Amino acid sequence: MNAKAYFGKYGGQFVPETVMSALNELEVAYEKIASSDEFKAELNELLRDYVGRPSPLYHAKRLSEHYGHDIYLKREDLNHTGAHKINNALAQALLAKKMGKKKVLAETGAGQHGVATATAAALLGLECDVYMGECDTKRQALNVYKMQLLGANVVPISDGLGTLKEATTAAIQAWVNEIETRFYVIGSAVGPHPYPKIVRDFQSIIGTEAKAQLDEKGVKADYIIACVGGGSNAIGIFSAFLDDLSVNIIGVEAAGLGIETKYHAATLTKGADGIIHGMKTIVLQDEFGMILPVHSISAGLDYPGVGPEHAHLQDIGRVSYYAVSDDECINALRLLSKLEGIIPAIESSHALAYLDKLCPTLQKRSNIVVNVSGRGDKDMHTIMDYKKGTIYG
Amino acid sequence: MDKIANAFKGKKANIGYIVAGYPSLEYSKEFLNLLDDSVLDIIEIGIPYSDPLADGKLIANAAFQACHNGVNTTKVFDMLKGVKTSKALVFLVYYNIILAYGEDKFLRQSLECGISGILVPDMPYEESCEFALKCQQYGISLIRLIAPTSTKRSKEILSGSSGFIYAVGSLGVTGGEQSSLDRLKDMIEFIKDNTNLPVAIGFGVKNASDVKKVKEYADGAIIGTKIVEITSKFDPQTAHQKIKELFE
Repeated sequence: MNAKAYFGKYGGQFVPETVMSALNELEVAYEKIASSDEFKAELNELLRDYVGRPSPLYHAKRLSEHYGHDIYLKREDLNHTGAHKINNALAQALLAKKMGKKKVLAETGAGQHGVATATAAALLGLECDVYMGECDTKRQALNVYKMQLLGANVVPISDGLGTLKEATTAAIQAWVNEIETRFYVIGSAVGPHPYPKIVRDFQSIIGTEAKAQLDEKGVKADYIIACVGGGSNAIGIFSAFLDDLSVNIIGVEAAGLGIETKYHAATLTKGADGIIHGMKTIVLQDEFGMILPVHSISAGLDYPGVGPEHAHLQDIGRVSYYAVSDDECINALRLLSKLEGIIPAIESSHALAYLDKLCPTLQKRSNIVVNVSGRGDKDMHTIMDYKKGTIYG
Repeated sequence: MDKIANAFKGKKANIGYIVAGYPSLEYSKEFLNLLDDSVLDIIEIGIPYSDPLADGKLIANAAFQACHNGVNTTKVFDMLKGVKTSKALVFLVYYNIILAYGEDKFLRQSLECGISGILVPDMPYEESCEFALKCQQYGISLIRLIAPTSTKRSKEILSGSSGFIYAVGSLGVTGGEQSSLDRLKDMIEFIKDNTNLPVAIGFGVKNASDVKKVKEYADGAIIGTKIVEITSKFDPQTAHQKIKELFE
């Protein structure tokens, strides 16, 4: 066992033998290239001038008034392409280019990682294929068009439910076919080592900035909240606060129609130890290890696994994970839109929805930071057509 | 002598792959009961899985169909209890299936069902040391895979292998095109220099011509995708006839 590949008992490299050389090559390249001053300078310049970082930490006054606590929003929705995904996609694509790769591929659920990867590939002159579940291509049609406009080839996957799980499996299979020439830009803190660590490191800029911005405002965070599908935006903001035990950290999963039904994607709440997409983590599966179909109104959270670091953080009790339903998520989306003039992504709305459960339980006025991981433009059709109890996927 | 070693004794081995429960469990049982009159020396039995990372469309679809028909690990073991053959049976099984069932329970029942070896396509050397020890305790060979890309890790992989070495003949999932002959020859030469175990080539081996080519430098040829395709079209008896044509 390669101890570096694990977070406690989670992580590892459960992949076909053919893939191992590419993972080892990536690990070496990441340590050598991504830690160099030259890479960091180039990436930081792109993040500032191209992505628009730092993203603001906004004190949401009307939302604070509504809840009776001080709510701060980390505005990843203001990034170029509309979500936190660009931080990681741009960094991985830059690494791919430095490694001499000419082609990248990616999987996508909500399309935000696909758009981010297609954007980075266009910027850096790389060929790009994006694997996307057929169901998701329909509910995220606008993002499909954006990817195509950016020059990427979108590959619809009709296997299974045609959502993120199937897209990820297809992307890994396609990667195996061109293992020596393609770079796989993984979109969340999932997959075999070293991907969960690389994605966390590239997304840690969210937490690093938030911490500095809180310090600047003279505010001490009591709670940090983020939504969790694979968990990249969450691990990105959590990472800077994990060592400060006075900060309560909360991850929010998709309860879909309710965790008492089979229509949810609440992996950490309802799953068990297993293997998916090259990692040992917590997985929604049956007693024989078959991966179960999942459901969420959010294409980005519609995933039966979770990043292994989250599984570990739950295991050691450092982070608490809860789940909110489709309906609670839509209510939160509408509330933020009306009170603050910010339409968040459906994914991020899960994190916002948890305020309804948390705030009434707090004894004293608290400072709460919510990571608004993306904006809701892509979700307009889903929101317009939303009816309580709808089964997606 | 164990059944796997026997399969390579004095000859080049013919190795086939089926998906258990595809097209039905009754079919699989009948197919396996005809093995003693078959050209096959070793049969890999794939336990169907919902997320087979190493498989191409054809095998993945067969597995999905078997899963859809309710095939699971317990039912595969029950089916195997009705199989009688002198040929070597090995499992090809994704690790999550073993993990969910429990490693010890899985190995104990495998042994009871006459399984001689296990291939776990998503468990590379680095992750398999503890499981390899358990396999050893149960007297079941852990057959490791080596790919043309394994390079630096090849010696470590070989040092922990048993049964035979499964050389991956193509860069890709099952059913793809074979890697260049030179590259395969180099890989086999390296394996031969570093282990006494027999070496069989799978992935990208589709017909009698491929088998002939492979057997020139390896100890066995493995056909998977084509056999699964045959089992979808013909009854077990006819399937064995068709398989004979692939190997001769």
